[in-house]
Amino acid sequence: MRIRLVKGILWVLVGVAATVTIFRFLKGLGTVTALTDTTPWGLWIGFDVLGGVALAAGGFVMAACVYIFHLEKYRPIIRPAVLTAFLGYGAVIGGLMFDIGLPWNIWRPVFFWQEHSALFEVAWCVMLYFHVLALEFAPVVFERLPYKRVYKILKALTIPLVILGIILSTLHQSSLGTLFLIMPFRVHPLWYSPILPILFFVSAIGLGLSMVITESVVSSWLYKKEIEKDLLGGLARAGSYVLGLYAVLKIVDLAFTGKLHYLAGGSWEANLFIFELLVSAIVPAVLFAIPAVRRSIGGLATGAGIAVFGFVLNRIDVSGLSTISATGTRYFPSWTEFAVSIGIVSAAALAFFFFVEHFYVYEETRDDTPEKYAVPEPDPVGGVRLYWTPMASASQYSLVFIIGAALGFALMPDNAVHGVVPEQTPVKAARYVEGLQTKAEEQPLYSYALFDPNEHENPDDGEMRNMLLIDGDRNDKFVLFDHEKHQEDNGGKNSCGMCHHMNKPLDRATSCFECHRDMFLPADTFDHEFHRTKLDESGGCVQCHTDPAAPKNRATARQCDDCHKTMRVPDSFVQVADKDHTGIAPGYMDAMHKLCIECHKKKETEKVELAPDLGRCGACHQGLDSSLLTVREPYPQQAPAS
Amino acid sequence: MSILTDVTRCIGCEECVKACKETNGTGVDQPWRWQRKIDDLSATRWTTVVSKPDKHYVRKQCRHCVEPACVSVCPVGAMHKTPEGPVVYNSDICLGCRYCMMACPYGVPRYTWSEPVPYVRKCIMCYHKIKSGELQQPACTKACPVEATIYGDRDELLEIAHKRIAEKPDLYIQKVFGEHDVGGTSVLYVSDIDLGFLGWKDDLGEKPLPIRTWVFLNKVPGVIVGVGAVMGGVYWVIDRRMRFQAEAMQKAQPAAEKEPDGDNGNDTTEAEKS
Repeated sequence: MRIRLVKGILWVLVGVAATVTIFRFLKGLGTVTALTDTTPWGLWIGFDVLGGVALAAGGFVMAACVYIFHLEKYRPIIRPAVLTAFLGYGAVIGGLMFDIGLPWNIWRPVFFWQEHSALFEVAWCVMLYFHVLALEFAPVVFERLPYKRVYKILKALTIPLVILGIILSTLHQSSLGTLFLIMPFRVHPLWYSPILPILFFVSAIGLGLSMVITESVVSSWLYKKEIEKDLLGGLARAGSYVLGLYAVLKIVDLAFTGKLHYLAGGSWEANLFIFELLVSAIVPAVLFAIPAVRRSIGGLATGAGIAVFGFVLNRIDVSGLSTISATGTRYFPSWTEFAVSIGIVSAAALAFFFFVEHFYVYEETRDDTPEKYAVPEPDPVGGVRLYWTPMASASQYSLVFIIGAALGFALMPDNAVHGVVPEQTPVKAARYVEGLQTKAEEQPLYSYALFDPNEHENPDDGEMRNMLLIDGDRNDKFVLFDHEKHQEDNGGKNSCGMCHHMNKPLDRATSCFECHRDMFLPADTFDHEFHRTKLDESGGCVQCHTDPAAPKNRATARQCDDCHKTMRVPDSFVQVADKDHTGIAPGYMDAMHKLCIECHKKKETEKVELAPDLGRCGACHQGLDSSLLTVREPYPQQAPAS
Repeated sequence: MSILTDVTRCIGCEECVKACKETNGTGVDQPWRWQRKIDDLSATRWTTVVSKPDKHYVRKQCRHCVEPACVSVCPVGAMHKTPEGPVVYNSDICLGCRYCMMACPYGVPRYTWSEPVPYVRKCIMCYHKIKSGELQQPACTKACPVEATIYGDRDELLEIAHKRIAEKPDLYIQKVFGEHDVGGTSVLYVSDIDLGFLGWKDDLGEKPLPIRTWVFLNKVPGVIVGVGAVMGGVYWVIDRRMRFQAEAMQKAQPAAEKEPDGDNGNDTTEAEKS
């Protein structure tokens, strides 16, 4: 029952991860991760890859103990250790497939060699070692299959494979530390060390031993089998030496590189470093050194559990937390990243259970096999067909898997369906205010003002209305907006859709300028691009922007009048209002009537033909209705509203 | 091929940014979650102008290091240092590990996170267009209206830079930024303000970064031979001793139950059993 409950939970977690997988590959890393340009490596590298490889170190450590050093008493735990390593590396490769941007290119390092890259070496080693582990574990599978010849060949290969496995592990366990040697500025000085590769290698051995202990305790709990207490005690004793060595190395390294003063500062990095060193090495080393602890299952489990946690934290620190001070970016993994990491571990655990239940991974399971997996007979009396047990559990697990997948869909953030969208630009919420509406001189326009009791005592000043103070164009300029009036004028309750519910990206309502189109039409005919081209491309900038030290804008540029002496026709309304805004007309209408048209009329008398016949009223006005007006250049031509 | 940027001359007009975007077709800048600011470097903005107090404008772009960390870490050689100087990127063989982004001491490479098929993006000094003769010099240096950023041979530019800082010792900081930093860069700066903020740390030192890794990586063949020999030797010695021991015990008690011989005798019998 215990094992079925655990498996059920694992299947739910795998289901959630399966959903995330779909979105990861359809919508990209930006949708499901919280990674940024300054933090390009996150949980998947820190935990799945760096942690995963280190957790799987038990395989090569145990193989070395048993096959090379002939410590025969550890033979019973060699198979689970190798299996854990094999599945661990499978999980690492699985995690990598999620993390790397173009996973279909993962084979490229095989053909494109780059021996200066630590990652190239890691890639080769992981790839080879994964196959070595598969071959090391293969006899367990083949001893139950009828291919005796293959089994014999595999058995004969054991020693060379074990030696190759140790070489590869030594290389890549340390090379994962080498990865960070090139980032002396990014990794905090407390974690950066010229001997990072050695620290990674030693800690991998310590972690490998702790992981073997943890895993033995967990599987004995799950399968209710006798625990190999004296074996684990021996491992723990070895572990205490390795962890002690690691702690000494760390401290000596700090002392030699003159970094001890970083510990004194009391910064969060210093605290984290001390905490990490305590839980990863010092506490478990001390625990494992006490014989009483080594003899109790609880003690072993505690020590090993703390060490496993500590070293995973170490890998996450080196790859992530220690870079925060340099990059200044905070990164916290999204729930989807956690879901994938947990899902991969769950899948590996399920695979582990599969092998344990179907092959002789643990020696003592050898005896009670035949009846355990026998097909139950159908009930002869009632004729009721009993489920074949594996089938029954398969359908239960499928159900929880689907529940997990559905849960994943339900929790998926909004942007997952469409892929990630740009950040929303902040929009200030509307505020209800009391406004005073007064008739303007010219009908049917109104003018609005915020109601001020001191100024507007006389009710005849205008009509009090509820209004909104909105930043409709998102340019930090608030205006009084008469919502009721807009509603009335545009057809009452049916008019909502004119501004709202438009499903525009990043927006909740239509901006004012989309209807009031002249709002942002500057009555300014200056064509920057044209001037730039005319004045010898970019070299001409300085002809107007004369002061190279000043920012290049209208205020600091030369004025139009300087060059175009005769631009303004005598009758023009256009005045040089202030020296900073040369040439801005009071409005589009004024500019058109008193600048453009006057000039066109003048040119026509000089028999110069200009494209739009602006001298004629009908060139723009289709009738008296102002909505039928053609808005001329320099704005885009628009057809009169029908 | 190198670029020299004179911070004292830059007027912050961003013509270089515009020219770069047009020439390389990088697309529209948008406020994505993963970038610091919309006007910082991004996958659509390969060069940008950083505004500093007192009208100082500093153009930010890939430094095209002489010994680039990004090139040395790429497991497939998708990042490539050309003999002319620019560091270019081959998207065809990239596998997206983003180690280049982690390794760059200036934090320059950017990623197209929003794409299902993402690539690394950074300034490539218009290398391919210059190579094909389409451009005479990078779009950014061509666009600069005040010659604040100029293109040329690295040695010539260094000469110009040294001449400038020697002529106006009061104005300039007496250092050509990028001459020796991390082994030298192809994008050089002269400035009247300190440009330490361009890297992860104010002073990146003069030691090229790839050496730090190579110290360990060049020991790989040694480790393979060494570990292999030690493990093989240990196995041979212990195995031999145990075999002799077993034989001696067999001779001593011939009547006793037969000991399993060697290390794998146990498993063979199991296989036969099943």
